[in-house]
Amino acid sequence: ECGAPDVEALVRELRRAGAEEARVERGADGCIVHLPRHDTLVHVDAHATHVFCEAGADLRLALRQALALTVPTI
Amino acid sequence: LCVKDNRLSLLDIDEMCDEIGINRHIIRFTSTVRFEDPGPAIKTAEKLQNLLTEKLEGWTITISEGNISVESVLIKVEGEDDSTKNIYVSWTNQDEDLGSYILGLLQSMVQYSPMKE
Repeated sequence: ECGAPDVEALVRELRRAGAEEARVERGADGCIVHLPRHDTLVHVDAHATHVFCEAGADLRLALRQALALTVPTI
Repeated sequence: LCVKDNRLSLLDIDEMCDEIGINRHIIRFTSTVRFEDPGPAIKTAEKLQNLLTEKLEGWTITISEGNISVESVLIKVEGEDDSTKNIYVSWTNQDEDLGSYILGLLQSMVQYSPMKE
């Protein structure tokens, strides 16, 4: 991975995977994608993406797939 | 593997990114396991370390100030002496297999069996 994910695309992918409640809160140094129904949030800044996931392995897999599609790679 | 100063060199991924001027983006996952284990958090951490040493034979497991690490997987125990402990398990995207294995191990341990000293 060599850059932050495209957050709009990430939300689209998450909604497509069934997490329709995904919503974005933007801040000064990045943004947070909330998935309240899944007790999960994704903090994105320029250097790192940190997923705090209290849901099961299925959602984590969906998040990994969505990130793989939206994070720039070499 | 890259060509550096007209020589083939084997670099780790961080060195490689520095060489070609790319800011590596780290993806990390964190999940929480809640565990009834009265006593100091450090004691719970030591029990977890023993469990992981038994289950992850051949892996280097270290503990520092109550934080356990295996490769990029970090395990931190928090909670007052007499209360439920929160065990935070965190790992990078590249270590998904190891991280999810350890998370599953701790979840099943909490669910099905009391932890031994």
